[in-house]
Amino acid sequence: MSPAFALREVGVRYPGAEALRDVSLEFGAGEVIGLVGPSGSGKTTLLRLLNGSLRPSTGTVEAEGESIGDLTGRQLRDLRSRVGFVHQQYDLVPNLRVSQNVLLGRLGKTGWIGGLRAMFWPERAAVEQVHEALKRVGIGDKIFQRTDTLSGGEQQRVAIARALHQQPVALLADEPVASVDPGRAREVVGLLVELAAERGVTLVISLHDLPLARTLPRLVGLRAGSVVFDRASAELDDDAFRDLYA
Amino acid sequence: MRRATWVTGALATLLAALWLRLDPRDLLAAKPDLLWDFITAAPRPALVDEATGEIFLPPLVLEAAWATVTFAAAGMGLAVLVAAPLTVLASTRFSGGGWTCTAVRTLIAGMRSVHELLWAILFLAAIGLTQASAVIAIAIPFAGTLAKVFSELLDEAPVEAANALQAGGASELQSLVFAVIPQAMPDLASYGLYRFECALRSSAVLGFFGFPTLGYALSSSADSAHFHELWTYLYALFLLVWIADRWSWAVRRRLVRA
Repeated sequence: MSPAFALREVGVRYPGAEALRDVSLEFGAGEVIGLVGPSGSGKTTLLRLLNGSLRPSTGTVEAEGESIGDLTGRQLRDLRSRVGFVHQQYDLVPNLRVSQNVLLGRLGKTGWIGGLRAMFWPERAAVEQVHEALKRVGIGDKIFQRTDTLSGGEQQRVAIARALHQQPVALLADEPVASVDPGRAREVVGLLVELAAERGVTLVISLHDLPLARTLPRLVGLRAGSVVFDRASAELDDDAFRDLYA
Repeated sequence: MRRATWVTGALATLLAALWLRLDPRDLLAAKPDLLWDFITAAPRPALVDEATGEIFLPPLVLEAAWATVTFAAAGMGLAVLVAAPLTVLASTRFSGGGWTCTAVRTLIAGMRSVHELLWAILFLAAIGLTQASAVIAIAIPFAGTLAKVFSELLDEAPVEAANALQAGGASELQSLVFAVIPQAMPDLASYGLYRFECALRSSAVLGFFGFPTLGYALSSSADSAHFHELWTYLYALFLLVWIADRWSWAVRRRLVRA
């Protein structure tokens, strides 16, 4: 079976800056990987490559064995519909209901008709699925509230439920706990890991909080766009992290 | 504001007044008794035709008010339909700001640079005094204005939610419809309803060309110096605009309230 994602000698250059340099990595299906490194080290760039939001300047990125660069627009949207993305900010539509935001996560699969139904006349079965997803992240009772009436932490759970409702084969999370307190950060990361395990979903999650990152089985350390280490976190000692942030 | 701004503004006003040879005495030279009649008629709007004293006015007022609303609604409805695609094409975010965007922006500027009354003159000449000429005359400049303001509102709406939907496989147009438009909806609705209020006024004024709206009734009452009647029709127009304003307020409150 081909890996969920593979980067082969990938480089990304922005005008005047090199974001990633000669990165080669493989992420197996169902694996849980943490990306660590100082800000500006290329974590977000790497995640954006994985769902084709960004094209590499050199090298190739593969998802499920297919080179993302060769996909047509339609195929790329198909890929994205199978990859849930949880952002640092929750990126929900604030004046829609929670249920609508979650349903719209599946827009890539359901298309126009599904989107319009989500807005005005959602199917009973779909609403039940949304309710299940929201219950799973602990906010089932908020399903029909307006999204901007929820707290930041609750909105983050809505964003996770939206990604779940996509029935993804992979979840990408970009600094999902950057703006929450440490206690809740542990909870959210724990939830993502549990969800990934339950559904056999590949999870790639970028974190700057090291103690938290070390709860993940495999860590990729990035510094200035290069991979510094890629190992099981059990094998990594404090020196490795000190070097990363040096 | 800075003092220079005030001074410049005052000078410009003075120059314009001199250029136009404005004379305050003109106000006194006007027929003061006529003005007096007009003002004193305000608290006593007529309920019957002033010429015959027999024809009961309220049904006529209702008819003219209803015609005003229907012309405005039809014009506005057509304007929204025409403006919808133009809005997307004129928006920098969705058209990419290329030559189509520039061409569409020029087109909508042209549509609104001619006032609805001038369009009406044009269509009266071309089509004649039919309902269609009034409706199209309103729809063209209104579509131009709506497309301009709507496209700017879409460009200013936050991008994050739209990007998130695209990251989940939605197309750009889908992210527009399901993330950007809902977020901009309070402003879109509030501006759209304000334009409906403008359409009511335009529709009323189109009566001066013979369309059966409040303007027609107003001009015939004014021509025969029937000021009590005139006030009846003016109050009807105030009432229409007031209702439109209340409606807009209620809709906006419903959309904005969390």
